[in-house]
Amino acid sequence: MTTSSEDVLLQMGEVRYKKGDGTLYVMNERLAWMAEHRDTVTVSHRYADIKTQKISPEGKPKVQLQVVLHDGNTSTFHFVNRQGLQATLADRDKVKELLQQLLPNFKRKVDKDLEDKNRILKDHPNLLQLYKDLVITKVLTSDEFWATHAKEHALKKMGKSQEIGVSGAFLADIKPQTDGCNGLKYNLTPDVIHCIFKTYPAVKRKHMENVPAKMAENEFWTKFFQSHYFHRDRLTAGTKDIFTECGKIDDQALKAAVQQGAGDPLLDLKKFEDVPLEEGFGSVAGDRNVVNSGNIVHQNMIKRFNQHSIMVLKTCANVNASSTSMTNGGTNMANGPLGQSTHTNGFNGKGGGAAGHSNDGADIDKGAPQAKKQRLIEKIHYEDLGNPLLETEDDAAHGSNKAKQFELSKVERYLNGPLQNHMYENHNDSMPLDDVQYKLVRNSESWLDRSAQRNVICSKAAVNALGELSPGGSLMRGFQEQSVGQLVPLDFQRELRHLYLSLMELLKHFWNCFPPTTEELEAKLQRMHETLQRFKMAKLVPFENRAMHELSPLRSSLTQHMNILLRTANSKYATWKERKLRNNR
Amino acid sequence: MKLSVDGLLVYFPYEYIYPEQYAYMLELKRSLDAKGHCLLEMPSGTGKTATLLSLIVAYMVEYPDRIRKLIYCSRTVPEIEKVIAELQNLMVYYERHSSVQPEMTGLVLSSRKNMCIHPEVSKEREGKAVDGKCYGLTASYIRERHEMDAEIPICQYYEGFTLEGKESTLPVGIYSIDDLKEYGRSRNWCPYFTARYAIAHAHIVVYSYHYLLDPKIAQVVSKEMSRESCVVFDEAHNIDNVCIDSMSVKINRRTVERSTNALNQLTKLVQDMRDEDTNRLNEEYQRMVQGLKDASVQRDTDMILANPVLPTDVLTEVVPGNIRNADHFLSFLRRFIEYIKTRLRVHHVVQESPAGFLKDVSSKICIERKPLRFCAERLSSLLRTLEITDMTEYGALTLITHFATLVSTYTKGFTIIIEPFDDKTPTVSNPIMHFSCLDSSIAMSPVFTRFQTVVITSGTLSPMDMYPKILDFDPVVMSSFTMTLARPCLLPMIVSKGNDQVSISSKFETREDTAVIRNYGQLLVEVAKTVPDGIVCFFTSYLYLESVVASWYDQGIVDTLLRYKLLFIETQDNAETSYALMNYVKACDCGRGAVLLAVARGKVSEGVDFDHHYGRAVLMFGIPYVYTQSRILKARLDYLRDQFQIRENDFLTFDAMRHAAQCVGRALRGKTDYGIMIFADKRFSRQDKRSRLPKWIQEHLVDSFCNLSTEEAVQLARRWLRRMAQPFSREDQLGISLLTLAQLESMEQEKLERQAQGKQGVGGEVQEL
Repeated sequence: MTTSSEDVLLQMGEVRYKKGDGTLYVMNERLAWMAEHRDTVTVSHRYADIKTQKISPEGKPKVQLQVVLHDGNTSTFHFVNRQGLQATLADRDKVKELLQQLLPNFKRKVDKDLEDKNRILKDHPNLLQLYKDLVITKVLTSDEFWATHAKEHALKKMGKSQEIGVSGAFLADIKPQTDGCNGLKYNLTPDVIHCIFKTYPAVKRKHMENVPAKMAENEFWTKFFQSHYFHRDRLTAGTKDIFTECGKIDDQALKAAVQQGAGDPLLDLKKFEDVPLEEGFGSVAGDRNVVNSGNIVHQNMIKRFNQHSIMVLKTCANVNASSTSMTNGGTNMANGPLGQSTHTNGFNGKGGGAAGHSNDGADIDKGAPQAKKQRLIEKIHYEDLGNPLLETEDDAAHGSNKAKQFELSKVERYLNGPLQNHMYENHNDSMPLDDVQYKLVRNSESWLDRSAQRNVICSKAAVNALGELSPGGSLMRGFQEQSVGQLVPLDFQRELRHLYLSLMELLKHFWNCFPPTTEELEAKLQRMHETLQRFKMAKLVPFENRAMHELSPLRSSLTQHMNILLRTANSKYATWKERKLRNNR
Repeated sequence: MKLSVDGLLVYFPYEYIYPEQYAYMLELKRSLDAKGHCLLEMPSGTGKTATLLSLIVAYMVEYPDRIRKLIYCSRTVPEIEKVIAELQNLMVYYERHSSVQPEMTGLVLSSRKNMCIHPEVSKEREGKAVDGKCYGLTASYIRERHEMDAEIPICQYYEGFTLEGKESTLPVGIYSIDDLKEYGRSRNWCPYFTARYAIAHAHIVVYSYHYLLDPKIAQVVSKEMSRESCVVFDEAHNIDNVCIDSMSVKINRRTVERSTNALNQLTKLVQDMRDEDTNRLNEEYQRMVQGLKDASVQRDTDMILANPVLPTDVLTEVVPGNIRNADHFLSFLRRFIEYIKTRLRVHHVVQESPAGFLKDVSSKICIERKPLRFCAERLSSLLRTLEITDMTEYGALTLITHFATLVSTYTKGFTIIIEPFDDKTPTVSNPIMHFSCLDSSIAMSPVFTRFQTVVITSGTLSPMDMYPKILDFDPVVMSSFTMTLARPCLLPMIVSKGNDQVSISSKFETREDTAVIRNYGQLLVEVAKTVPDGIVCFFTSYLYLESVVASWYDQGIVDTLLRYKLLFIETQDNAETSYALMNYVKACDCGRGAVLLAVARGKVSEGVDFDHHYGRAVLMFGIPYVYTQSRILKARLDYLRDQFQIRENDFLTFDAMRHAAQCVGRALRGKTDYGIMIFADKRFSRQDKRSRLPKWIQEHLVDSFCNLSTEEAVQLARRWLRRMAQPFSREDQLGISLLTLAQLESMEQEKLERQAQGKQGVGGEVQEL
């Protein structure tokens, strides 16, 4: 029997397999068939092994379902419901549909991993070479290779691909076309669907509710295109339309947002007028506050346009928010001893202000006048006239320590140097933002006082020097015309390059382990050391030998540098080992 | 910097100054010296407010006896707050750089809605509701009752204020709305009333136009202002409309119904009161007899709206006998309302003068002019006597009494028009009676006579000669300043035809033409392709906007547009528009770019700035004429022709062009800013339209830019944008459009030398005046 953990999703009696009657089970992870009056499973296919399923065409007397496995084998199930052809077909379709849903989940899982790796290797020739050099020669195991050396590639592949933005005109991209007869064809691509879902969450919800339970994908989109929701100039007609509700949800969301009001006091039209005219006063110009009975369809459409734009904008706002919070987190972590980051003072323009608005909670009451004042000061600020003197309290606080002081948040860390390993983990990130900023500031300070360094050589001397340094010049006399490049045959060059590549990769990881502050790192160091030894034996030594034979004039000079590198690494390792032993003693 | 303007030491709170700011100061000083009014136009974004404030404050410091007070009026709340911020900035500068402190108190006065700190009342969003609730907590009889019965709620802040605040003065300083609130909270004083009291002796008052121009409010708020004041109307290009609006009344059927209801209510209340306690009614009657009608007016909280007529026109006589008695007055009102009801039952348009109306009133229902004039005051007295706190129900009735008072007070400059239906829907009966003010000088003239110097200024006042005419005053100085520019940061263009050479125009005959609409659409699409960030388009009216957008949708232009930028549209709902606007700004900020379709004369065109990347291009689709078929407008045009010899066409063009200029001016808010201004209508290229644009726009509108097709315009824009995108630093501007103190002084020196050599001095005329 099947294990109890595998739920039977569908049990279908009266199914023949190889002329024997039996029952077909569609389970969580596999498809099984059991002959009648037996309790062992005769046929069992894991979904992961199944490549596709095929069904017998309509109209054929035999109602069959065939599954094709990855290895090419097939199993054919023959449905024989006694209640007639219709029932048989229904049985088959039930199985088919269930499989249809289940199979894709597994298919991906199996192949994806391998395929991904394959693709990564294909996309990055360097990596492929490395793989060949290290894995195939057994310097590294495949797992080790993927875990350490190709990590970022693998991650990049696996991790989030960049979010696709939403074009404002994605609905226009659908572009209905006549299909020759009296129909319309809509171009619906996955991208467009993605856009629709992102922009109109209500539609997504509807889609989840209805497809495939109540209608097919196709039908859903047909309905969508027919709805007033899509055609912005149509009014909400009947309640039959499933999208009526979507429209209502959107309207409510908009209304709620409108009620909340604009955050910016300079944009809130409601609050513009200080003393509105008494009701009934006013003349020609006053007519505009009467809602005139224009064309309701047009007004509705205008509302929809606004809504559409707002919703499109919202999709990108969400992405922004998440990404900024991520980077913020990153920089804060990397900040380390530099203390507070400087870009939180909110003076850096509108981004800060906008973020301030979204802060909800208790401090909004207090914050509002502050933010307003900030906005006003921004407004009265003419950049060419010079800065206004007015400051909000916020700025005043920041203004006082504008001259940045070097403050140590942790003195001992400054004295002892960094100890925690996370400083090393993100070494290959680009430098933390703050550091860059800091360095830039430092650098740029020296740019200004160029006068101090005016002692640049004059142009004539420079030209002379250049001349001397060019081939034929006096300084180039000892230069060998015959460069190494010409002496070493091409295949050697290539091999040498590969060797360098591999070695550098390994060394990179080796040196990364220093200083080994944790157990893990120590283990890794050990491992890397061994790998380096292996590399030397498996790759470098044979190459040297070959070079010795074929390129006698150069001999070891080709690999000299590599040997030095290895030696340095070895000695470093040895020192560490020694010290460790001493310490342990 | 500290600079000398014609001998006056002016502290200007910036390191640099624009040449036109200096010129502006000179002109302003001349008119202050001459104690006369002036009309000054200076482009938006050249620091007008800072200039005005620093000069006038310096003048007040120097000659405290000549100008005691500065009253700064602006249009919108954000504008007002900006002024206060500038003022605070100036004072900080004084504090740091001047040995003598000006010791000035400046504050802003705003409506209760913006100033209330009462925990419950301030939650209300509607201004009216706040006023009503405040009245319900602070009215004199409520407070009296509270003394009897502590259960009756009152406002602690107002109580705090009356206890200690009335006698004390505000410490020297500049107070914004938030500062006042903060101060009120710390002292337990009501910020609104603190401000109301403080404006009497503050040196600088910043508030909205209405506090000075609307007689109903002005009498309550701005009663005691000394003559030695300088009044500044900023953003004054629409000032005539504000004047007219505050004195015009509209009455429709709903107003009449509501006022009838209110009247019934009042009758019942009076009856109840009579049964209970006749004393109070008698007291009131006695007061009327003795002419002590405003004995209780002194209690400031009781006054919500004063008489709608100007203070000089208010009769100071005893209330006529026939409306002294509450019952008599109510039946008097009832008769009047019935009369209005019958007048609304018309089938064709009626237009008549106030005099004719009064004559008809007296012949039909035997109501004389005199009691009508007292209507407004009599009703407010009655409402006080009846101790009614919730005024919302009585709004319509108050309106009717105001109408009665106005119509019986003014016989000139007003007209009555009764329309049986809306022009758009001639089948639906919807009668409206307009009592319309035709003459903006009526509300304006008391301001001119009352105050020594009135400064009318804006970015767009051209053609300037119109304002003295329609406001009926004699300016001492009338000047338009241009913008000195180190680079051509504005690109005005007149696009008169589309790529297919069909001329584009929003004139009535062609505005619904598909070719025109399509060409407008294509122009917008092309501009959206070329111009980065935000683009703002203005249409002539909501209706036109709606129909054009609908056509664009059908023609697929909206879809094409969406490929380049997001689309936001102004609607008639303010809240919705604000939200769309906020998103527009967000879209510009995040670099996506957006197009905003708005309406000339709409809220957006008058209150929102599209500086820098919020508006790199402004398109004006058509000439924003007023709806010329409106009878009220026609009446006004007739009046202007008869009284001021202004030709109809001149006025209409003037009005359209000032709005057009206002719209396109929204995009340019400074010299470091840059923006394209596209006038998309063939008619703009005519001389009579072109010459009415402000000088600073005209200067850049060369002949070769006046008759462009879409393609040509986009080509020009492309080249220009490339140029504008180059870095632009202060050094580029220095000496040309930006001056240091040294440069300014040397310039002055040269000028003096030239004058010394025998040329006519510029300052000579002032002495003559």
